[in-house]
Amino acid sequence: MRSLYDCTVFCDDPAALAPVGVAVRDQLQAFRAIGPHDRILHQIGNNGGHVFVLRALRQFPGVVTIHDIGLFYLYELETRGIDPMLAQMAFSAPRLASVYGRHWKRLNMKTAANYALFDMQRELLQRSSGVVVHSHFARAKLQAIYGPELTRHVSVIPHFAPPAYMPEQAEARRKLGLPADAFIVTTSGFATRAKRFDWMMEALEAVLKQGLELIWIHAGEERPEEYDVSAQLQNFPLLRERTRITGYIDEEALNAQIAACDLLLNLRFPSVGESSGTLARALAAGRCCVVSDTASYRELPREAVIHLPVFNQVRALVQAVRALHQDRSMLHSFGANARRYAETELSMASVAARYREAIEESQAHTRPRPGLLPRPLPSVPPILVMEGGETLSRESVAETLRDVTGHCRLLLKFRDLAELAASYAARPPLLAELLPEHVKVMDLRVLAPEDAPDNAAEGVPAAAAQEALLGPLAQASGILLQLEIAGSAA
Amino acid sequence: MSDTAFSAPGHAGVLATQAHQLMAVWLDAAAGPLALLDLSFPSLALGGFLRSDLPGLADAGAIPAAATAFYGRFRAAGGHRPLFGLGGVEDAAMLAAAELAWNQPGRQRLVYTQDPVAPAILETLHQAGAWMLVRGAAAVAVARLPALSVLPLVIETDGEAARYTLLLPAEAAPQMRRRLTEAGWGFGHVTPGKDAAEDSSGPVVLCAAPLPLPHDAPLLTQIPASALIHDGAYRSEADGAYSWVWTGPERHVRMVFGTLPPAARWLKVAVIGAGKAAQLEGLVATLDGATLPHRLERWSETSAGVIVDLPPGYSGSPILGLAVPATVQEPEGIRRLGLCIHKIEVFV
Repeated sequence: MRSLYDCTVFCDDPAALAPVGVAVRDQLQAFRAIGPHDRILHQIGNNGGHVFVLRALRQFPGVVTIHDIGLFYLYELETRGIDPMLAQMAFSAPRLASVYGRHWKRLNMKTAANYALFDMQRELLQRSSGVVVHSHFARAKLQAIYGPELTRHVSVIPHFAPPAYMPEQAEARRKLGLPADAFIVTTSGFATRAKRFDWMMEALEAVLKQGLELIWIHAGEERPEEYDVSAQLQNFPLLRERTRITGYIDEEALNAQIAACDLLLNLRFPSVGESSGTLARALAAGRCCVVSDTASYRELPREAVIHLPVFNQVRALVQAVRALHQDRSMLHSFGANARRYAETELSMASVAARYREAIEESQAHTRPRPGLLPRPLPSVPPILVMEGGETLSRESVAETLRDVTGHCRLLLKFRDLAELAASYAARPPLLAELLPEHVKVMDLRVLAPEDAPDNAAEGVPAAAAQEALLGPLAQASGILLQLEIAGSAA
Repeated sequence: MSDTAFSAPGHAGVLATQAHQLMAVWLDAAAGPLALLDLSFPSLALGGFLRSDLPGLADAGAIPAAATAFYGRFRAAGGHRPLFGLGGVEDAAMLAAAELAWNQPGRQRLVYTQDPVAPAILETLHQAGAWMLVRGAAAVAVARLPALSVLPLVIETDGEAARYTLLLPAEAAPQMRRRLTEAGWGFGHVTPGKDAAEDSSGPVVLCAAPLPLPHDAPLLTQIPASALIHDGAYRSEADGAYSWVWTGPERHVRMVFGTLPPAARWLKVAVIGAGKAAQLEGLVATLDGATLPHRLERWSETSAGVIVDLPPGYSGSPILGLAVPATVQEPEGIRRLGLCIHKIEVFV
């Protein structure tokens, strides 16, 4: 991008490395340097290290690249306490939130379903002048959930293949102490359940039983709490003898491992629309890669990677590994195609040009930048008014409170006390049924001007007190709630 | 220290800072003991010279929200107090704190601002009997306060004039005018304005030579840990007069010193400890958010003076940052620690 724009990177790590000519600055002091019309590009993923990005894009909206379609974990880390998180869930998926929020708050029930169902993308879609995702799958998923209007500014730009130094295979093997003539199958990154080590181990064990020799290297860390690779490996005795798990390795070592392999397995099932940086490296290194034929991986060229079907996966993987093991020209052919794809479609120049297009188009839809605007401190909480009776529902209350955070007052108006009592009788407990989980009742007052005795002890007639409290709503009957609403007014 | 000749920052910048310095000296001599609330954070134009223990913001709701959020992270007095001007309840508590000079008997409360002050704050300070020293456009809004006299003050240095407005109770104005006149004779020529017996609306003008730049005393000032205004460190600790502050739990600490003396050319942060040597080796320094080269004056494996040369022509109120590669677990505690800072020295 530096060849196209004068770039400054704002980051929470002053020691972050940037290309020559690109300054790195403290992101908390971005207000010193950013103007209302400057082009801004945020990069966000489902990672604790990106909390500052989420906060920054609220202050300085621009174009955002969404690297992970599910951001529930990020929001959990960013918000403090369950109530703000419930507010975000309600904002992201209001109907689901009423059920899942209640389960979480009242029954302490939070499961993998929360992470799958609440992608928390609504805020990014609404706040940003442009959105970039890495696959048509990701865009289609957003469109299906949020509709065409909210996703009209979503562009698809593939993840670039980084131009890292990748040693030649022989050199890499020498440095890593790997046998020069072995058939090496490599996986990488955190060992998670979705990477389907179960299929892989079963398939590689089967290949070994058929008499074909290979080595499996997992270039990454285990996550036993999620999927215990080492424990499962005990079920595959032939493979166990031919497996190496490196643990955490730095970027240079990862590049060497990728360069050293014959075959990179990059399975994902189910996929949540993520893209793989490791895969991009492997393509750039000209390695033959096997991916799951699903989600964003389906969009990779059929001649550049091998797509594993999502049914009969183990059998298909066995056939693929055997074929590639026995026909090295096919293996190399896929690798050459992969490298060509990386050097063209995934090249820095190609990706940068597409980003420029997305950024320039977004300039026609710039949003105000709250970080640059004064924000006067609120003094008196506003009064929101809703009509009581049959039209009152949890959904209507949630809609009324959707853009409110902090303190507010809500008046549920009824014709008279009789109607109020009837509502309570019909839907006990009324307030628990109506109020979203992230809303706390700080105070409650029943208003009935025609029935209230004068407040002689304080020397102020009740009507006058109510007038002072409510102004033009002084003659209302109903329930006046003082609420505290968690959340960030997404 | 650099061997190159001192290159003065922008003319107006030097004189603006010199004017603040002269004003501080002048007020100190004329008004007796003062308790200063300086609402010009981060520049702390007057507080840097009058040693205010109450820095603050004039109107947090009038500056960019991101700036308010950033400044709101800072803690004054070594980390023991928030800034004034960020919230009604905390502000009131701060003004009531017994240990502050603000609440010591025999001191005149003085508020300095160079921006319009939020009405609620203005009212609170007015009710607290504070005088106000105002620079620039802020004077227009503040002058509307009832029962205050307006006493214009001008400092002329080298042909340039810096204008202030002192607002104080009407009954105190004539005496203050006299005191300023008398005090000013000590270091300049004073034109007292019109006599108190007549229409005493004219400015008191102090014509003074610029304060000399020190040549034989390279240390201009030092800020102990107990007085640091920081974001990203714990509360300062002390053993008698010796104080220190640990940075953490974040990797990046930011420190505000207020307006630097015009001759300031380099800073030295006395880091008397670090969890491990790597924290010093991988240190990054920033100035106003941008990375800046630094050098280490090594004292031991885990202690050093961190020296930062200010860019040529730099003037103003820096926000100095130090970032370590990682924090470490406190050996017998729960804190994540970065650097242990004893003081910051400012050199010519």
